[in-house]
Amino acid sequence: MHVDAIECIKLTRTFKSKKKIVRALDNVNLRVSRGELFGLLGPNGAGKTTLIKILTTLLLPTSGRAYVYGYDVEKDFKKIRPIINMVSGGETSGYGLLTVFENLWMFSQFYGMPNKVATETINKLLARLHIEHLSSRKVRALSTGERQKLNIIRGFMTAPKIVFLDEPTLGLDVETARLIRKFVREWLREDKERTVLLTTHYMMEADELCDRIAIIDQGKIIALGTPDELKKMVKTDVSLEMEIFPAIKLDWIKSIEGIAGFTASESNGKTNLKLVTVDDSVGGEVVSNIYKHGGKILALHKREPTLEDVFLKLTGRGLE
Amino acid sequence: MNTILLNLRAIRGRAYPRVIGLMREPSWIFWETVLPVLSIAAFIYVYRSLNAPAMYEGFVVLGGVMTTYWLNVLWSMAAQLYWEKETANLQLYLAAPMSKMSILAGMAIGAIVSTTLRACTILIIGIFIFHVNFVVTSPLLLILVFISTLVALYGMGMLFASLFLMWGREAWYLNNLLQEPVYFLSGQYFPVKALGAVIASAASIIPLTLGLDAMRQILFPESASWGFLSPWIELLILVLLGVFFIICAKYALDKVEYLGKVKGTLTMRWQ
Amino acid sequence: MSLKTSMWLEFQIESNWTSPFIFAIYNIIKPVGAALVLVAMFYVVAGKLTGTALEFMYVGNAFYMILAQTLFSIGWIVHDDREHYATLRYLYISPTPYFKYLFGRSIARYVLSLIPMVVLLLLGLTFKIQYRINLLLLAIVLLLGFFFIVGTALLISGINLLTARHGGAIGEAFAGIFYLASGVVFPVSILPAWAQQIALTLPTTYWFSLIRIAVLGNEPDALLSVFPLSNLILYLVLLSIVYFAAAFLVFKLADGLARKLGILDMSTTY
Repeated sequence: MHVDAIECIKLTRTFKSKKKIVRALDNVNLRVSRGELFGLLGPNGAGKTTLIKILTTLLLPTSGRAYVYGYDVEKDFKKIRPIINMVSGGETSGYGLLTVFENLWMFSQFYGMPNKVATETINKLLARLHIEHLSSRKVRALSTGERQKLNIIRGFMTAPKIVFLDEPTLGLDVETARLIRKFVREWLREDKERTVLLTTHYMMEADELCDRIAIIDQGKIIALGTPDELKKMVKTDVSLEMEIFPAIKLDWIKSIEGIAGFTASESNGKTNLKLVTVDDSVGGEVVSNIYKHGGKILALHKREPTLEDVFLKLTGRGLE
Repeated sequence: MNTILLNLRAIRGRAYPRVIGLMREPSWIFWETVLPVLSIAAFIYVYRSLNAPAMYEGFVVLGGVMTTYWLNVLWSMAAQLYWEKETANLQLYLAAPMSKMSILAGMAIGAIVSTTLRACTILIIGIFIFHVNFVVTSPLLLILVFISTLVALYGMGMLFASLFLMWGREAWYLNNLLQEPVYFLSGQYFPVKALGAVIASAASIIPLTLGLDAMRQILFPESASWGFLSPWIELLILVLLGVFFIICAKYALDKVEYLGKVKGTLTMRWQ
Repeated sequence: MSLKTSMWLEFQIESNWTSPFIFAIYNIIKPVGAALVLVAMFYVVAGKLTGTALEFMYVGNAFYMILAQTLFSIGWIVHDDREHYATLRYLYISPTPYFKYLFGRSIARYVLSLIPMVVLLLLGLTFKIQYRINLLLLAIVLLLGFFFIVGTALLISGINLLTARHGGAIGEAFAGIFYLASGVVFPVSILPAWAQQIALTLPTTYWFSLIRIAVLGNEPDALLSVFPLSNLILYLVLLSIVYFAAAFLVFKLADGLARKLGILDMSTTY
């Protein structure tokens, strides 16, 4: 019987603090097929890490069920652990006074890897991620990007069937982030049984990498589909970006009909406005109001809808 | 994957950073030799100031040796889970297929080198500087008692370690609390019989108590009147304690892990 | 960060892991356990629970708690800030000198350490210890003690900037030296001659002697009883100044060296 890589059924997780109950996950239903690179996109505090913790058997659901390769995360966690691994962004695991190789070897032993296999695998992956020259360097001397490459190797060297990547490119430079994404894609292609669940709040990363994406906000899945399917949700909408000088207040925007969502930020005395509107005429009304309120439009772009626009439309706010 | 092989490799893996750390950060050698000198000497001089018979100085040396292993259990094993949690290693350990006891065993084994150096230093100081005279009346019994005490101690340590899966600083402070009160209750530097039968009996749950008492009787035959129980009975109890603590530790580690997963404290830092 | 803030921080770190009641119990049980070890040692030799020797060691141990707890706790701070809370770099680059921050935390720790001392003194009534307390002298001695104990704690912190995370081992070592060589629980006069010379260079020797005079009304130690009270106070003041100055110097040197070697925020846990 074919089982999905991941299945969540009415998954809920609450946390009790002294003052209130926080619903980190709220009736999440999800299915990830084997061989998929599945993305979980959402802002900070949406519930992404909570879901990963449940699926990696570090946290139990308050209600509902979750399965990894058909195994229940609550009852069969011992069967799940040999086939998974996880990598988080900004991870500082391991021991600073061990070398890169030694740290990786140590973690390989926790999965019972024979020495010879561990050594070969580690060396191969060090080369693939271009840090073979760092093999003998102590971990505490690594830069952030080098450290994250080490973490990635740690997560993939044990030949897991599923890898959980929790914001793996957080805080990394463009080149390192790109290399890691390329590595993940290639790793998946090598074996159709391999699956990756990736959480991120970088919509570009989700768009580029993922076969399917679930958008999560405040513990709920608010949209699910391929990147194209999701973008079609806003295809009929108009996405505009404007640069306004001088910076003006935009409270009046909410009163304009036809605005699906907007975000605004100020920098260098200018306001950068991103809008999703139902048609072009709404954009015109916004422009005339900008002039009425003393602003001048320095730049105006109409752009193709992005996942951020989808999020904007669904929640009324941005991903950042 | 063979479970025994997996866990043996896990023990090896976790012991490795301990052993390598000792070589790469050698300043511990100084502290592991200086500190024992100070504390042992101080308590020996306490007895000297009271004009106590020479064998009491031997009690101090013996107590110092065994306490070293207790401190190893507390700080290099039990409390270490607290540090692993704070440095985000714990979640990776728990998400791996190995047993938690393998991690703890690896930590303990890795720290045995520094612990044993400290214990040997105390012995050397006691014998050559303070001229403590040990008379080994039964080498076999001594070895059996020593090993049984260590096994029971480390089993107890694993049991404490389970607390760190759920708690944070509370468990660290509890660990801290298990020094001086345990020194008193176990008769670290004095025969536990002095505390009376009731307290001595209750304190016997601490493996150190009976281990020290048995070794005192074996090494200082003139202290036989201060013996709480016969060394063979104490050996038997220690063996039973060892089995009991290891079984409890297994159960407690699993149970507390489960509770930690329910409450969400398994990966919570700075509790 | 003001002194007041760093004092507040120390108090929070030491106490906010539990309720005030449990915190109070914790602060009492440890020192009581340590004291009872000595009482039991006395009992197995003397066969009784009263006597001058018991008073000597009991009072010495009670006040030793202040020294030990301060040195042990402060001995942890650098390692804690560096590797546990990872706040060392942020504290360092703040306008408040790190030395001042440590000083503030030391003050709070010292004050907190007075509580178990008081509890132990009260418990001492159980052993019929004959207190003859000179409050003024005691207050002066505690104030002087603050300077050299905090000075030593800051010296340890300086050393810790350069060492691996051996936890409180360094603080313990210093406390242990004082315990052995300062006439805390036994008279300095029973130490070998060379050790007595060392004892006479330690501020703790004079501090504990003054403590005994302030609490028990006399100094039973044959070596120290020859010193007039004024001399004891003078030696304590002079040595406290030396220790505090040495602490500042060592800290500055260690700080410079740690930054030069790039080990200010190293990770040494294993």
